[in-house]
Amino acid sequence: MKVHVDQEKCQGHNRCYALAPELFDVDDYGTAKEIGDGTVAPELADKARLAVANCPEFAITITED
Amino acid sequence: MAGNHPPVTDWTTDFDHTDEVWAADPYPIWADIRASECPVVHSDRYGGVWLPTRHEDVSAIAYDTEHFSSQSPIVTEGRPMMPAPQGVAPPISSDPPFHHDARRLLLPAFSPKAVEELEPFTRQFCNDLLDQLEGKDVVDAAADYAQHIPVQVIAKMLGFPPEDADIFRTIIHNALESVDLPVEKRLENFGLLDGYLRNQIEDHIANPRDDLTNYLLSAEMGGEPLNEEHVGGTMALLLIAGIDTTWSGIGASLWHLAKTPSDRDGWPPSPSCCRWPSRSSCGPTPR
Repeated sequence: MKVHVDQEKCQGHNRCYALAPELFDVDDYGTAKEIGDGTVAPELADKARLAVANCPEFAITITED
Repeated sequence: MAGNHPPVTDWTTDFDHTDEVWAADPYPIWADIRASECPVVHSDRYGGVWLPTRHEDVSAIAYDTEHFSSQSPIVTEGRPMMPAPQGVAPPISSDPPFHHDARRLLLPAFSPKAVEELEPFTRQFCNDLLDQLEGKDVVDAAADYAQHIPVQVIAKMLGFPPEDADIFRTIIHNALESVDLPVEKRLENFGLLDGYLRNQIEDHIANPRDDLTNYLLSAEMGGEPLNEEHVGGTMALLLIAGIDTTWSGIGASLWHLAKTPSDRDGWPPSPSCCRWPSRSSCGPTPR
């Protein structure tokens, strides 16, 4: 599983970073980016889905292997 | 609350967001309208106002910035003194593309890193508040605890004296709670806010310091300094919304936890969990 943030859609709400700092990082404007290539360790899969569900801009996508 | 408008008898043709029934519990009213044949209702009150109740309608309106403006975020008898795209309290009263830039100006002050720097102060303040509650049999968590926290934090961010807390409470009451007053009375009440902000701006120009007020005074948008109304309007927004939204949020969270023992499982959470609560690892987040 991988996560990806569409930075054009991201408006800096920081919800993903608050819920899953293991998977996302943010800059000073709160614009989020997946950490590394976005690979989600199995134990973090729930957190990844939580981040997707909580993004007010629908900016995060998950790709299943 | 509702003192200046007659009680509502028909929510589908004559709704009023200041009516006591609505204020006590609006959800059944919205559910009834949502399930009715016409989920968008109109009221002649407040100069004429529409209420969409379905998510898809609210969402469509929010994104249709060509036909709908954000220039009047509070429904009152009055109409905005400062038109879009800037509006009276940017960015909440602004339309695109002005909204994007005015909002972006504020983001660094609310980044996780900036907020983290405020954590020791906030934590200490909350602990001191709890110490003061020691020995009391009955505590009003909203009045004795929640309402004090954002007042102090936002005052610190804007660089306002902490002892002015009572003034902020009056300002917020004037802006958001007495929305059904006649226009003249509301304008008179806003004099307190205007005068307070003017004094703070003068003081910050004379004695610059590292806070949000001086940041706004020196900020630029499109290569130009912010106009006076933008600086004052954004300060007003940060003060009013920063306090009101947050004390409501803290109070409502505590109320929910008090009523819902099952959501208290696993509390108190560990400190690392407490910083970034998530439903999966440590219990409740707002639904």
